[in-house]
Amino acid sequence: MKKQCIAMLLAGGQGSRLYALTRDMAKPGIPFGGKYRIIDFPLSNCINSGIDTVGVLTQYKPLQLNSYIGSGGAWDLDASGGGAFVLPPYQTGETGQWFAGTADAIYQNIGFVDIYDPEYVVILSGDHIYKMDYADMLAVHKKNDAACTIAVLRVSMQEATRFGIMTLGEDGSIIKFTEKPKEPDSDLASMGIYIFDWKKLRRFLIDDAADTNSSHDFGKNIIPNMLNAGERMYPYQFEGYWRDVGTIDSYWDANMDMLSPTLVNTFDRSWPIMANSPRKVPQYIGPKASVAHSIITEGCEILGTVENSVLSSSVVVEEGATVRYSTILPGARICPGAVVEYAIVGENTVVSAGSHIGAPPDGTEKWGVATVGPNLKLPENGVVPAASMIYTEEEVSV
Amino acid sequence: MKNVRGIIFAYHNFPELGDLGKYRTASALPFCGRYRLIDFALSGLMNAGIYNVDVLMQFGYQSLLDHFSGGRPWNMVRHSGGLHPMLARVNQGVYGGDMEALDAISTHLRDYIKDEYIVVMDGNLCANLDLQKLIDAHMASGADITALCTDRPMPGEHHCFIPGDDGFAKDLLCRRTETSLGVRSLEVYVLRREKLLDMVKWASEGDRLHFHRDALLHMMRECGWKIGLQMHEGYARKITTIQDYFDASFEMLEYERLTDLFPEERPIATRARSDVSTYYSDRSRVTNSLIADGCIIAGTVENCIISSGVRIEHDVTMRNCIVMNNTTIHTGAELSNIICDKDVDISAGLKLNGSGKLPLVVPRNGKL
Repeated sequence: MKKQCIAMLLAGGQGSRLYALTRDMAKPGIPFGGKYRIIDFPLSNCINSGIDTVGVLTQYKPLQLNSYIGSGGAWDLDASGGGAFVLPPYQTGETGQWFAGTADAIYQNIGFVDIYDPEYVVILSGDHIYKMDYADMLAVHKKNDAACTIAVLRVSMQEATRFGIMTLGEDGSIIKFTEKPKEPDSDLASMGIYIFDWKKLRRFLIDDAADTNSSHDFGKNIIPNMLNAGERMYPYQFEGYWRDVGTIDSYWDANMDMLSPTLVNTFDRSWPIMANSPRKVPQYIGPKASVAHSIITEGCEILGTVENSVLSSSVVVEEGATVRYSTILPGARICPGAVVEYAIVGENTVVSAGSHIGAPPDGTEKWGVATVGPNLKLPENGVVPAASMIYTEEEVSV
Repeated sequence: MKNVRGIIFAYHNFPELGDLGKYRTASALPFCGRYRLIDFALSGLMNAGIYNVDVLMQFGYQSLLDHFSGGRPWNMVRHSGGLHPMLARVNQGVYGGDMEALDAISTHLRDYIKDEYIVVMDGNLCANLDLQKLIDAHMASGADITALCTDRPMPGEHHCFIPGDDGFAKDLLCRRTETSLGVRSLEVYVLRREKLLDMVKWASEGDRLHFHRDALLHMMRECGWKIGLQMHEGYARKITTIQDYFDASFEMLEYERLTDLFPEERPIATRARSDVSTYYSDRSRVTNSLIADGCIIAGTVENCIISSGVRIEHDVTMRNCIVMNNTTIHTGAELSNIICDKDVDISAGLKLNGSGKLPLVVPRNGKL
């Protein structure tokens, strides 16, 4: 079945800097902002942009992500002739191999893309929080008659050293692309969102696969190779909220941003962010509970105090427990007398009575958000200091 | 379970539901901020693995048809069978009773379906049903029909069975309010399809409209049917009046009752909504309430049940209220003992008080 445009979503990332959270789950599958998982944002953007065929490339710990995506129905990505497809690495003949890089992941799935014989392919990554109309980006891509269009946003010059940075020519086209430059000459940063002319990308992917010196990466190899070959490449300037949630601090920050609905307006029904949520009873706020400036999700039972926090589904905050400036992931339980502040608590973890997780900022360099991994049962009166990351019970001092 | 079919009576409307029943039948009443009453019947069937279900509707069925979304929430989208809305024939008058409703689909029951057993039930029963246990008990006991009953008190009028020494019912007393008489029928029955067809055939031969008063009494007294009695463990209410609705809703603010009605092992499924989590502003004060996702709450909320998409602005005070989908309560309003239907708009500063014995209903789309 022919499609004008399909999307390929790179969801294989290990997310090593989020280790306690990603030890058993790929980064795009991490719960975010109460109701969501990170991958809900690009998947919802696709269907809202009119893209009904999405290949999701998985590699690292894909089990939960696969079952979460399921048939794609939660995002209306289950239409006949399209839908969401999980694409893991596979065996071919006598050989089989892992995806060696972002470009290799697409290269190994050329057969999948060819089924739809698209004119354009959108390449997305599964670890960003943003709302974007890819249809608008595609319109710009067509207008420029480009081989490749890269979504960009302006960053500060200090931040520019962490991104792929683009320099534009007088006609507005991209004339230079540098991955993480030490001395950036532009503040236009790549958001890792690309639209390619499929025929051209296909050719570059095949050439790149044959190059034994290549690291098979879009930013390091494909984009520079296309530029060197003189292809028409243009930026697509994005205005709006965008967050990479690849580190504990940025993940926590982005969750706290959800408490300012003007930043990420998920209440806007014209651009819904959808999720494959478990069906739970509405949240129960008990007779002695205190809830302020927080996001709470169905299935929660709140008997204690919750302030400035983001709670995923089925979190229990028992009487006398306090949660402040924290993100609590699905099914976690905060027992009486426990205090959780400036912290991330993983799925189904029990913070036992009298525990103290995290601490308020003390102005020192050492301070940071405390993280407790999933499926743990912390000892009573345990202490997890600021900036620490815990993924076994034994690490907790009592 | 193979070979078992569900039939849900969802056409019942009750004048005592007042404005709540104006656009919808009792089965379609929103409940607990998230559900509609018919979710209990459909989920009971789903949890027993029964996926072929006829839902009998007559008037005011749009809310239900929207809610069904094809049957997907209850895994009832099937190549053959599945969730099957049965709308009345165009020239059919208002059904006088369940036997008349069954007679209206008698061809379907006799000739088009193959299921051996039928579970019949009402769509306005608020209970988490273990139908597997009911069907197992029916098969084991050799009864002609088995009734799901409760031995606990239940407000309102009920059909009561008097258990005999052999475990089967020895008498049926229709529409009684006494709580000391035998056990109360939840009006959930299982029987073989031929037996149901016998009831329908006999009823159609005269002006015999009612399931209990006419058909079941006749089968019991004249045909010697053995009526098995299976007790339902747990909470059960039938919702036929505004007061029933108000009281049952607030009973859910007792956490033990809530978990009794919504246990982990038998989930109640409902139509999915693409809602965000609920946002509580720094000025919100919420206690003893059930709040669905997708709300924005900035005011004081005490003993309330709030459905999704509701906005409660700052300096609002709400006590003992039920608020349905997408209603907005503007700054400074004070409400107590009020049921706000869907899409209601309460303007700033308005004060409105009902009482626990006489809750006020603000009808759908009301602008006050």
